[in-house]
Order: sequence, then structure tokens, then C-alpha cells
Amino acid sequence: MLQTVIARLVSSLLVIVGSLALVFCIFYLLPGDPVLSMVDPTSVSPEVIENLRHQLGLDRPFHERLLTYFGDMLTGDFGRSLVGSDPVLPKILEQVPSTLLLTAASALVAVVVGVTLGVLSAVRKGGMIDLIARIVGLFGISMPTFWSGILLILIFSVQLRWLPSMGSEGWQTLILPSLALGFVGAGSIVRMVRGSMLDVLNEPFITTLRAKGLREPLIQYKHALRSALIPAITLIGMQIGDMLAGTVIIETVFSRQGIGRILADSIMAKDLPVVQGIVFFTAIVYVGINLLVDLSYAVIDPRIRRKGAR
Amino acid sequence: MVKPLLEVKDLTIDVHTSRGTLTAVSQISFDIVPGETVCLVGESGSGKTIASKAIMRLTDYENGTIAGGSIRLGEEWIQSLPQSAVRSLRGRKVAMIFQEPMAAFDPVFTIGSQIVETIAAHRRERKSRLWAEGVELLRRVGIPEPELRMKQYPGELSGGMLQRAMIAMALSGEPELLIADEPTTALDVTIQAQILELLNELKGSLGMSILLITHDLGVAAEMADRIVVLYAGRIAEQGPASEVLNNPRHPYTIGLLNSVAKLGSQRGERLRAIEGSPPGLAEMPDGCRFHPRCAWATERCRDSAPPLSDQGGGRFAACWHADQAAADPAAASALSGAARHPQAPRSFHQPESSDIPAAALLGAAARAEASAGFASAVPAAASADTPSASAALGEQPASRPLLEAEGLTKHYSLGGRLGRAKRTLRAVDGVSLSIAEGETFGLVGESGSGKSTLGRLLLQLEAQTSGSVHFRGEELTLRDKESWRQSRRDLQIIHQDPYGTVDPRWKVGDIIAEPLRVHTQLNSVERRTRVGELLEQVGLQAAWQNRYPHEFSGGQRQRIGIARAIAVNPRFILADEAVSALDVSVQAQIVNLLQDLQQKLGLTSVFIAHGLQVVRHISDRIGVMYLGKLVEVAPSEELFRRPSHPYTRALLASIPGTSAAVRESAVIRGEIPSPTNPPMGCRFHTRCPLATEQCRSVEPAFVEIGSGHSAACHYPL
Repeated sequence: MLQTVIARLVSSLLVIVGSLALVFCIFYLLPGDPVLSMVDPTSVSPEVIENLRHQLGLDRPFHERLLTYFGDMLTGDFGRSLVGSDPVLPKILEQVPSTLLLTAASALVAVVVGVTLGVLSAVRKGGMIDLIARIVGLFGISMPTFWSGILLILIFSVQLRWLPSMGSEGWQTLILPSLALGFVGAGSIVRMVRGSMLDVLNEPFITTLRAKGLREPLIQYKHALRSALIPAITLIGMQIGDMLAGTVIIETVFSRQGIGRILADSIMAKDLPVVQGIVFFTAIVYVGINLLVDLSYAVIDPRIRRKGAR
Repeated sequence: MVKPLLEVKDLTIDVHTSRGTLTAVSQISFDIVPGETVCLVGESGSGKTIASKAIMRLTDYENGTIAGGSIRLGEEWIQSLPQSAVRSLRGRKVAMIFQEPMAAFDPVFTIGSQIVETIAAHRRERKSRLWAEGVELLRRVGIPEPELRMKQYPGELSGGMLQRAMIAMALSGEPELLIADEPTTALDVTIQAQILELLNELKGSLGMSILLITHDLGVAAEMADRIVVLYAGRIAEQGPASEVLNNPRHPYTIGLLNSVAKLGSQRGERLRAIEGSPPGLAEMPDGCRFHPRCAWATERCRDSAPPLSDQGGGRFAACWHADQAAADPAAASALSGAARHPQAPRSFHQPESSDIPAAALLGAAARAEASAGFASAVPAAASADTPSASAALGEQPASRPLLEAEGLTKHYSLGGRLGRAKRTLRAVDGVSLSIAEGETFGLVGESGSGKSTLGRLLLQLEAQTSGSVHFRGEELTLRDKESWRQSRRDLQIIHQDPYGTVDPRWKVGDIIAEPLRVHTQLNSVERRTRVGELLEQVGLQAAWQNRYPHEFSGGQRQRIGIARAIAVNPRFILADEAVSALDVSVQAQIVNLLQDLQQKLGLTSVFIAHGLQVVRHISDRIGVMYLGKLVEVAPSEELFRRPSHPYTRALLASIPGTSAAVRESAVIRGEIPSPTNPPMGCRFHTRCPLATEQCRSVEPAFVEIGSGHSAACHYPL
């Protein structure tokens, strides 16, 4: 078990380093010059621009820049923003809680709605709940978040005036964005849970449980659900990653603070240090979630837990 | 007379499918008195499983409804109780065990927690008390180290242990009736014998009744007080076990009994198969449902269904011609009935393999090469009841060897990643054998003995770790791709599962033609002609080339697999459990077909199976494997008459129906050890009743102990 965890951690580290290198390369290859977005080339002499370039190290060769970059990272130096010239790390950390909160709330919506509806629709196959679940599933996976976000604002903020449409102060502002973001995940989770629940309910061991005289709820929620969750958890892990990525759009739609919004702004401004700081952070969260997913398999399924032991 | 514990009367069960409502079981009636074992015997589609599930109303969960009749269990009328009331009876008054113990346990909960929850469903008690009770139950059914097993997960126990645990779980509610649905079908014969013995012992000491569902007449013979034979959802015959088995009155029962290879039967003789295969639910024949396959069928049988009539002595049979049938049981054999079907055959009708047209044989007879003399030596009359020509040859293994294996070894390494201990699975360990031209060599052994791996090594479908295989004096090897490809033409395989080994999206003609495309220069017209020939050769129709596999029954699909295997005129065929997945009545047809083809085409073959009688019937010589080693090789008759190795003797004693006295002296306890860690010395010593110090330390050599009879034992019997 410990070996599995260590192996996972090593491969997680590789993923993080790899994603940073990838972003670095993409920015290197992108057309355009970050310096030109910092200063107005019409009012500043070319020498100044050249000077600035030298200061930022932009004139050095590719491999040198890459190595310096990783070296700085190792010492905890994430550099300074090219736009505001403030340090990257505090700038990101300041915004992290807001985004994490939004992601967590969305994940909660997705898992609660997705698993509940998925299970109920499988158990009451062909009934009213099944119909609702399938509609949720369909809309969830086919509606883009910016569209469902705007719809939610129209209904609950503009028409009903129940909830604020923007800002990040107070729990009320969290509800609409997390619904919009969570709904997407809920859509695919419903479908997955429903499908795997139906599969498990057809397994021979369910007949055994019935033949033993167990009550249906015990069979469905203790036995069937546990097996059905194994494939669903993989999906949930990926969905949470997607939700983190989805904050880029949702934070913009709902004018919330957060790294998603900074990321959007920084990409526009070609502010490489900020973008890389955020990628670094996102990669850590993503990898962390997947690590949790893998470990939770072992908790749920003894066959995975004991594979190496026997 | 004792009041029956279970009384099933005129039970009819409908199953609702997407194609409409089908009747799975029609008006069946039987009863079980306390302490009695009743066997429901039938083939696939006979309705035996669904009838047993209806007794617990489990059919409700599988789109089934009880459309008529009644089920009384004790004082309860099951068919009219609400589910909640039936639920409280399940596990307490009536319990059930299933065919696949591996699939019947929830894989993600421990054995212990699954037993505890069963008791807790019917009784409130402290958890620790229930746990202790679980331990006792496991001990009761003969599971070693029950405390440890309670904490283990189903994946960590062997099939035999799980079936014991399943029985323990069923016993937890002290049921009056135990329903056992094919409880030993998925297990090895040795384990089967142990489980059946356990069931009998429990029945005796607990006084419960058993309803045993099985397709195996041997199991029924061993267990049953009374037998109910089901065919196509109706009762064909029922009565006391000895009467039904020794003096059957219904043509179907007679046919079933005839089609089983028995120890006493003449080897090489054709089995008396029942024609065709059991009908599907949607295509039930009118009148007597057995009439399309029956030798005695008349107009009356086609028009009206015979009622279950009293035949005296507690026996009932549903047949208009029961007296005739009982008077001349041999006539049930399909051999005499070739011209009996003037009307167009149903889709499930299969022509008997003895009808192979002479034209189809010409292609085979035209084979050149070494077998020319042999093939022509077998006259076209081979379809008659002559003793197998190969048998005559096989008794003299002196004829030159076709396939020789020398020190064949296959080790698989497991684990070894990330510092985990590397282990070696010794699937096959130093096997040498020689198979003569024209011979049929049978391979038997429990699962895990390495017989399938040995088969694949012989064909070089897998590379050995060490050792060599020679085919007609030349080394076969996977290393030389070109000659390996060439050798495929001579070495073919027939697989176990007729469903999984043909591509469902290909037409049958294309499936059979594929090897022809690879190995011959035939153009598409010639290929079609050849495929037509092949189809007729295996007893199907040439015109069926354009059909898809799903349009065929299991037995017919196995014929397709055989046609594909013989398409390129191979010299050697490996039949790996080729009849194991088929219904008993169909099994006999395929065995006959294989024997016919072998004679006509002069094939040499290795026949792997776990059904010992079938192997004896078809093989000239038999090799017995245990944990990757050949422990005994002998001519068939000799092996069954005078087994030398204690393991062989134990296998033979495990055959259902063996007398208690014989079994007592030979049957083995325990299970086959893991091939990753085989015992020192003689690998069988851990289970051998005769083991001594020498067996524990010194591995016995494989030596000749008689003419063509070799064994690896320090103390051959």
C-alpha cells in the first residue's frame, strides 16, 4: 500500500514538471512579445525595450530560460508579474481560497445531485425519477457553462431577484456559479452512476443477497452502490479537474474573484510568470485529486487493495 | 403419508421480454417431503432454474410472473404472498446456493460480514455473537481456519472453499429447504465430490430437504431420492431416482441416458445422441415439445401435448408412447432415425452427423501426404458402427510419432515490480510426451494442473520457457515466423466456448473461409465451394454460409468452429474442452462428429476435458496432469481399469455415481496447491493418502510400469 502511494507521488511530480515545461514551450512558440504589452512602443525608444528584454531575460536562449525557470521554482521564486511587476506567489495565493471554494461547492453539487439521481433512477428504472435523471443528464452534458450561467442570472437575479448576479462577498454569491458549474458534472455523473448501478443490479450476487432475505434498501444502498461507485469515482475525479478549469469561464461570467479570472487576464496580457504560477497550482490540485481517487479505490474495493499482498 | 414440505402445483411462469411475453415453465407439479432430495434435471432452456427461483419468488426481480398454479411451502402459499412476507421466509425457511460461487458473493465485502448480515436479517443479536456463530458455521462445513476466512474477501478463496462458505451462509437461518442450483457445475470433479458429500452429510444431520438443480445425470444419480426431468418448460418424467435412471419411460430421459458416455460403454463406439437441440423459449414446438427430436413421434404427438400420466410405482411420464419407448430404449438412438423428418427442419434442427454425404468425403479422401494410405484404409462405411480405426492404431504407439514434446516447461513470472517479491507460476514443468500419427491423446487434471497451457505449447501458440516440440521430426518454434506460419496449416484448435470464438459480425461462410484465404490460393468461388463442403461435412447445410453466428445454437456453433479447424486439412487438432460448454444431448453429437472426422480425415488430436468419461470414450491414450507435471500416461482402458497413480485413482473415484466404498478408499481431501509454490518432492504428497517421508523429499521419476503405461509415483498401485 505504501509502495503504491510512493509510486503515485513520484509520477505525480513528473506530471507537474511536465505540465510546467509544456506551458513554457507554448508561450515560447506563441507569436507576440510580452514587452510590447508592457510598454507603448510608439513612445519608448528601442533601446529601452531592448533593455527591458535583457532585464527580464527574454533575450537569452530557450534552454537557458527553461533551466533558470525551473531553478527559480525550486527555490520558491515564482518571479514577478510582467504587467504589475508584483510578485506572482502572493498574487495567486490571495485568490486561491475563492476559487477552491467555488470548485468545492460545484463538486458538492455535482456529486450530490449526480449520485443521488443516478442511484434513484437505476433503482426506480422507468419511473418518474428516472425520467428526471435522464433529462438532467442530457442537459448537464449538453449545456455549456457560460450559457447555463447566464440563464441562472436571468432567472434568479434579474427576474426573481433572489440571489446576487456578481461579486464574491458572502455565501449568496456562491450559489449560482456553483450550480452552473456543478450541473455539468452532475450530468455525466448521473449517467455513469445510473449505468453502473443497473449493471451491478444484474450481477448474480444480487440474487444471492435477495435469496438471503435481505431488505431491498440494504441490497441497493449497501451492496450495489458500493460496487457501482468504483467506475463513478474515476469520473468524479476528472470532473473536479474540469470544474477547476471551468472557473476560468464562470468567474468571468459572474465577475467573481479568483485565479480563473487572473488566468484569463494574464493569458491576454502574455504575462508568463503569472500563467505559469497558476498552472503550477492547478496541476498540484489536479494531481492531488487523482491521487485521492486512486486511493479511494483501494478503500472501496478490496480486490485492488490486496492485489500486491497476495 | 408424510405431508410434503413443498408442494408445487400446475406452476406456470411467464417471462416478459422486449419481444413479448414468453412462457418459461408450463404447468409443472412436484413436491418434496421433509428430509428428501429431489433433483430437477434438464438442459438449457428447460426452465429448471426459473422454476426453482419461483419457489422463493425471485422471479419477480427478473421480469417473471407466476401466471398460474400454486406453491405451498410449509403453511405459506408463496404465489399469493406480498414480497415483504416472502422476504422474511428467504434465508430462514428456504435458502439457496448457486452455480458460480465466485459470482454469488459480493466481491467487496468480507465472507464474515456477508454471513453476519444474513443472520442479522432475521434475528436481532449482538454483532460479536453473530460473528462467533459465523465462525462456527464455517467450521461446520469443513473450512480450515474459519476465523481467518471470516476476514477474507471472496477473491481470496478458491471456488471450492467459496461454495462451502456459500453453504454455511445458507445454513445460517436453519432452513427447512435448501435449493442448490447447479452447485458443482463450475467446480473440479474432486471438489464436486467433496461438496456433494457435504450436502448429503448436512441433509442427514440437519434433516433438511434439498431441491437440487442439475444437468448432470451422474450428480442426480448420486444425490436424488426422486428425479424430475424437465424438457422445454414441461415435466417429461418424474419418479423415484432408481426407477427413472434404470427404467426410464420417456423418450427424452432415455435419450439423455443414452447420450452420456458411461464407464461401461464400448470405447470408440458412437454415442447415441439425441438429434437437434433443445428449443428456445420463443420457438416451442406444438404438441409434445419433444416430438421434433423423438424417435417415436407420431401424428398424435405433433397435434396434442401428452398429459403427465401415472406409470405406476410413483412414476409419471408425459408421453403418448411411454410403453413402446420403455420396451425398446435402444431405439431412441438417433442412428436409426435418419429418414424420419419429411417436413422441412426447424431452424434448430441439426442433421445427425452420420448423414455426412459421400461427396463431402471425397475432398478429404483426396488428401495427399502420409495419411493417404490411412485415409483410404478407412472405408466410406466408416459412418457405421465400426470400432474406431484410430483406436486400433493407437494401441500401438509404435507407429511413428507425429508430435513430440521434450521437457516442455512454461513458467510465468508474476509481480516483481517496485521491489515486490518476484514469483514464478510453474504452469507446465518438464513434460515429455509423444503422440503417434492417428492417435487421440486425452489430457485430464483439475483446473490449475496446466493442461490447457500444455495444449497451447504443443501448438506453439505460446513460447515455452524451455524444452522443445517436434512435429514430424522438425522442430516447431515461434522464433522462426515463416515456418511457424506454415505450421499453422497443419495444427489447428477447437475452443471451448462456441459463443466467444466466432466473430459475431462475420458471416459463417467468411469465418470458415478465413483460414483458406490465409493458407491457400483458392479464389473466392472455389472458397465458397469448399466452405459448402465443410459445412456439410460437419452436419450443417452448405446454403447456410450467409448466416450469422447468432442464428445458430451452441451445438451448431461448435460445428462451425470444427469446420473452421478442419478447413485447411490439418494433420493435428487440439480440442480444448470442446464439448464442455454444451448441453448433454448435444455433447454426444459433437463427440460423434469429432470421432467421425478423425477417422475420415486421419487426424491426430489432443482432447482436453474435465469430463473423465468423455475423455475415456474418445481417447486412445490418456495423460493425467497434476500441478504442471504428467503423473500418469496409459491406454484409456488400462488407465480406468488399473490406475497406478493415487491421483488418477482419486480422480476416477470422484466421478459422480461411484460407489461409496470405492470412493472412501481413494477420494482425496483438500484442494490443488498454488502452482506458484508447488510442494517439494512429489507434488501430490500433500493430498496423497499413501505419502511417506520419501514422497515429501524426493520427486518420483516418470517411469514405465507396464506396456505403454507410465507413472510418476514411488509406490505405484
